[in-house]
Amino acid sequence: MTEEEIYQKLTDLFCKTFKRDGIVVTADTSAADIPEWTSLTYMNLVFEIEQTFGFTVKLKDMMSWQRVGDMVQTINRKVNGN
Amino acid sequence: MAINSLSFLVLIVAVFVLYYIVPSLLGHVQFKQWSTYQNIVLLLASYFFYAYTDLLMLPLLLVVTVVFYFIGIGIERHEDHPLADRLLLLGIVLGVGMLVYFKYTNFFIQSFANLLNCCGLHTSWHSLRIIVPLGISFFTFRLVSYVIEVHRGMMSASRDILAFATYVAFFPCMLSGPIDRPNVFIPQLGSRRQFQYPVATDGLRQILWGLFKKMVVADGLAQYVDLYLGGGSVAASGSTTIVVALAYTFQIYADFSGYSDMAIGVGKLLGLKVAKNFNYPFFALNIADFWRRWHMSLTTWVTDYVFTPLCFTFRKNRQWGMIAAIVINFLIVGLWHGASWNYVIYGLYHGLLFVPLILMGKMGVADEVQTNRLGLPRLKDFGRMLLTFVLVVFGMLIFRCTTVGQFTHELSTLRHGLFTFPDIGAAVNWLFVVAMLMVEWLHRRRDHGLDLSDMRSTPLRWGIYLLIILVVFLNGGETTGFIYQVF
Repeated sequence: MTEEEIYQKLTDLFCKTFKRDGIVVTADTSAADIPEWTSLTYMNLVFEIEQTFGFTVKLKDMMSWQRVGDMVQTINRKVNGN
Repeated sequence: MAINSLSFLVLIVAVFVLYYIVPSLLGHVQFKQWSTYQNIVLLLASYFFYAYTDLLMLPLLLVVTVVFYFIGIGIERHEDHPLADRLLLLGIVLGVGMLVYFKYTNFFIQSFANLLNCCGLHTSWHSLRIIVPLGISFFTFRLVSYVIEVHRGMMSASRDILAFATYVAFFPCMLSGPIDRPNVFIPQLGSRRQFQYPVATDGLRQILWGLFKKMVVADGLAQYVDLYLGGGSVAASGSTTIVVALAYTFQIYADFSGYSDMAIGVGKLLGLKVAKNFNYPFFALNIADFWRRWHMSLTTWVTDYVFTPLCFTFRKNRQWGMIAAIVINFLIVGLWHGASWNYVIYGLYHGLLFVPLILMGKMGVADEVQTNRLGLPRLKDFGRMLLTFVLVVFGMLIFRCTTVGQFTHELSTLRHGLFTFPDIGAAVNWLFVVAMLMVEWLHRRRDHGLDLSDMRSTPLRWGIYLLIILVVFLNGGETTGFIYQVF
């Protein structure tokens, strides 16, 4: 899976989880950019990522995510072994 | 040794001289380790402070400091190896186990014995004679935080035992917090701290504001609150019980945030940034907002180390998983305060107050309070602030009552005399409460209530300082211990 595809899937997941169309997801997107971001919606997002990309997120990985770029790095590692 | 006592003042002056003046007098001496020297001064002062208050428990503090220092190094050395996980577990079990043993053993014995008695099985179990080390809830949380942060890779394990021990025992925060994070505090000890006039003067202002809150507002209300909630036989009408609950809410806020202001102020004097602990909680718009502003160093601690991992574990259960996480989280917050059922109920009460917010999806950061032309909150926001405040006051009544029986008694007083004129105690104390609230409302976007750093007029600024000093000297109530010192 290419990084571009990961970003595309993440964009869909963000729109679905935060119930808003047109969210633009870039490497620098963080919680501060999305008003709908709460503890609950974030956990829902983590769950959706696990379902979509087919791996289990580790707490340590999740805690290290400061921005979407970190998220993509973890997904890339788990899915592509990079 | 209380932070607002003369003996503490003597200690801080001595520390100040050794910490800044000696290095500057010997400035010509090429000594690369001035930071080490400053840490030695801080550590000796911290151990002296602790020994002065609780000499018997100083060896315990020394031992756990050394043990956790080596656990941290072990975790880092065996990163990505199961041994690191086991060492983390050892650190958590040691820290939490110590807390449970010293604070909760008798509670468990008594509760279990009572349960058996209720089932008709009579026991002759007695409470153990356990001396609770002062500040144990604070320094164990610092230690546990350290091993978790090292394990998560958020910081390197400290190789400087002096800096690490200073972090654990830093004397202004030893007895009542704030609970500093190791990844923020320890790096500050790595370089020489230079005296910075603007920071130090701001620290002095914050100390003065803390003194006002503690010695005028909190101590002024203490006697009145104790009269009705101190377990005596003074009967209160329903209206008086409401006023007493209000008074206790203001007392505990002024007491604890006053202490925090003083500790943060002393930190600024020493060139160290201590964690913020309060952010004007009475102006919160909902209960989640309140907890983001009240005892912030504890709430961020439990959020990072309890709530988030629990939410993560329960993530498949969506909002119900989050409700379970928040209730467990607040039960821990309640129990952290002490081994008593009122704290359990207090925690449960606050946990349950989050349920509607979670179900409505309103857990996010609350908006800024909207104000009208007069600078007062708009009616809608005022209503939200008032509702939050009422819920908090009710919670404080649970918190203050030492037994469930006392709490139900206080509730029963509300059935009569609700519309009679209440006993409000000395009116002047309420004047000081209003003054505190007004100043904090005006300065709610600032670092602390007496942040006057942008006030140009020196005479006006000094006039305010002198007025507060005068009020502290003339109206300082009978000195009482800090409420959070026993936790």
